[in-house]
Amino acid sequence: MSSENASKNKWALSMHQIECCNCSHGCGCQFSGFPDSDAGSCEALIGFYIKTGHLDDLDLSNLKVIFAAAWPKAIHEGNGKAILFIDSAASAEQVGAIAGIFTGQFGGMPFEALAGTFSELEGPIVANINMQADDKHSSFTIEDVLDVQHTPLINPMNGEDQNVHITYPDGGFFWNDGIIGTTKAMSIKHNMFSFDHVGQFAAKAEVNWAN
Amino acid sequence: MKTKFIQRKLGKHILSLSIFSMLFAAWYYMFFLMTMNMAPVAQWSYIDIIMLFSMWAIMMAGMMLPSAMPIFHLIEQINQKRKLRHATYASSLYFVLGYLLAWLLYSLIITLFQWWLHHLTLLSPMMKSSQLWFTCALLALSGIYQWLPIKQYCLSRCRSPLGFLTSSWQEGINGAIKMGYIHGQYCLGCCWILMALLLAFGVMNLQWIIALTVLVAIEKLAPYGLVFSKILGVILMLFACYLAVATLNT
Repeated sequence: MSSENASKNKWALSMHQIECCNCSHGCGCQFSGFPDSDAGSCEALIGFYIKTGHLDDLDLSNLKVIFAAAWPKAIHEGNGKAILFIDSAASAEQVGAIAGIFTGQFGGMPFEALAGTFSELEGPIVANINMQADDKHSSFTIEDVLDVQHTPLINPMNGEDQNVHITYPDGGFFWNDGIIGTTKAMSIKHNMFSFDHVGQFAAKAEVNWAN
Repeated sequence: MKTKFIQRKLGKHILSLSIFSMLFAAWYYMFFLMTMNMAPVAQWSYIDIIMLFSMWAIMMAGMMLPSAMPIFHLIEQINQKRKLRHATYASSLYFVLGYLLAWLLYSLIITLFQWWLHHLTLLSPMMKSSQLWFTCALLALSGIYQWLPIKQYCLSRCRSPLGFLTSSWQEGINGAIKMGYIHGQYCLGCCWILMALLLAFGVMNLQWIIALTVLVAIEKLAPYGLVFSKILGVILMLFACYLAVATLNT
């Protein structure tokens, strides 16, 4: 018996995922593994609102998590850096559980595969997170650190919401159905990260992950 | 104590060492042994066919393993982390095995196909196309294939190893072999006809073997590989036309 089996560490998370990055509107990683940003890099801010979730018997519902990450080239080529922020509403035990899950320590996709692409990981940083999960106008902020606000893609001809989805009937890169928008705010300033990519790719999706 | 230390040190590099040895052996064979082993064949015995099959298998391993390195590396990263926390894992080599199985299957099919072509005398005993129309048809077809949705779909899958792992992960040894086999099939869907181009220019033509290995690597590993694959398609089609016109004019 390995120690992982002995202590179980079974987790499951059902979350709102609010993501945005420096790619143009399609986000190349979704389709063919390579970012289509000008620099060929990936710089992303992803907010997670845990609708229901647990690690073994520990309840993780209604917690908020933010993942800030950057890779110099395609994500799978590695050398990524990331910071993990967890809302101050989480108890010390919950912070430990979320940090363990998000850094891939308990196994389970996609965290375990992602963990292999990072060379530097900072956190978990416990901070006051404001987060609104909404199909069209999601947002999350940490005062003086980061600010993300989604906004729908507007048809330039008639000013109407274009209502764009990307769906993967057979399972996608991270999610199966994403509501695609753009950002009116997307910035972070914290130690190793300082970027601002307003007006690029944004997606809101529901994800169900487990190990 | 000492052997344990060596095991641990070696364990970290076992995947790279194995793949490096496989590549070294495959390319050594292609550079120095292949033409000696495969004398021109007029009458095909079953031993000749087995030799031909081994040749294809070794060539495919040598040509296709380099561009699959990113996904091997990702799986190895996952395994290294699991090892650190004493969790169960299946060696990355099982994934490589699955990947090679897909290409082994292809090698078998193309060996039989080549044998049939020899029967039709479309290939010379030097394993090279002996008919201009056959060369041109193969080039044109491979050029067209570059533009087909199935090629672009498979290439996208090949170029997104992280997406493949997050959506198709399977546990255990069988799981690793299966994943490798499935990923190998995407690479097959991508490259089978490019590899078959060797029938046009000589199965043992080293320049073409190297050129195709590089072209496949660019398609799979470079940021603009998808665009490149379509440009390559146009070049192949133009090449077919050029060969046809140039030869007809002389």
